[in-house]
Amino acid sequence: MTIKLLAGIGLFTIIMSGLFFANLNSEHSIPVVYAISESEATNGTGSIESPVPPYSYLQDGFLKVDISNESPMYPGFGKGLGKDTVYVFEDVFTVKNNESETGESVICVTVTSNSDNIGVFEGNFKGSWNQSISITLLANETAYIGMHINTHNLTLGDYNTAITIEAFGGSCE
Amino acid sequence: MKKILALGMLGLLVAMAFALGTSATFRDYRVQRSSHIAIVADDSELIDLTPAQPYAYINERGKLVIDFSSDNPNWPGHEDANWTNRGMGLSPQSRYNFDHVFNVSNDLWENKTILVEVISSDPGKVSFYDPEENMRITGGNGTPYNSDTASGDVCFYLAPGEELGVGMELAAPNTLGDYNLTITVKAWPADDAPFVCGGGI
Repeated sequence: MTIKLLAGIGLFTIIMSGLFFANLNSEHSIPVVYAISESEATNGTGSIESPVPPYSYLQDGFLKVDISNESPMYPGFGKGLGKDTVYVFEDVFTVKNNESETGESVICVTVTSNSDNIGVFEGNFKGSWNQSISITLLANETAYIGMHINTHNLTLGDYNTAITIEAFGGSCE
Repeated sequence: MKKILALGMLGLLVAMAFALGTSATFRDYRVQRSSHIAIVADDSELIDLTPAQPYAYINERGKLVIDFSSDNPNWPGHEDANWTNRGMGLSPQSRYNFDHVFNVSNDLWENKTILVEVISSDPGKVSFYDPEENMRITGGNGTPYNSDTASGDVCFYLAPGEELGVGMELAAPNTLGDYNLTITVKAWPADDAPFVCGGGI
């Protein structure tokens, strides 16, 4: 009796998951599933984003942007950013469609800064930046992400913010 | 009673579907990565602005201030009562020049030569020069090396770790009072700068 019940659950589960993915694929809705587990990201495979030192690095396997004297890349001078200043850093990190991991010939990657003071842009800075950018990446294509940091209205101190990176199969539009 | 149980099971099954998703091939990816930025005083940031004379200082908000008045905390009258009324500022209609008022240095982490531009908001009152002749007038070939050649818009190159002392020529107006102006400092990687310093127009 018990065995039968378990088998029933297993079958139902597979059907459910199939429906679920079909939905996500067709609607490009807000992603909920973490397709690549934290452990995969930790061992260096499966991550879409990678640091370009010195202003970013891998902390325990995860991309971290750090412009302070706490960064392991800190050379002993230039402890941070000054006030009332606009800084533009090109090529802080990259995003890549590693086809052998994504299994997709085209993906759309969205990079979003959760701070008003930090904007992002792709490639060489041409005067424009955004809170959020979307980039279509073909198989094994890499894009360089830069950061526009405006320190006006900030006081001395440490600022910890997040960058959200999302991706799904297919082009952005 | 049976129905409630069934609903509970459904919830469990959906949760399992989520868990299965993580081991499936790439579908959707969403991660949060952290960024940490320290806002530090002007004399310890990536492109340092360091006071090199008592006329320049870092204020409590971490900003470089150049102050030729008794408001300057370095004004000797703050320490010595007998100093009162002496050297409280500049005289009307006179010109002063001060070598190396503040230093600009290249403390970027990536070992790149930078081009620096220093701009006065009022070139008639404040202009810049460098007696060591490492400065050029922006957009021209002139070398501002003394009071007469000083310019309100100058540029220079800094190799990694290098610094340059910016000298200031002050022309006081003919009326008494306080005059505030702004000095803007811009910098680019030398190999990706919008202009060549000392390269003419």
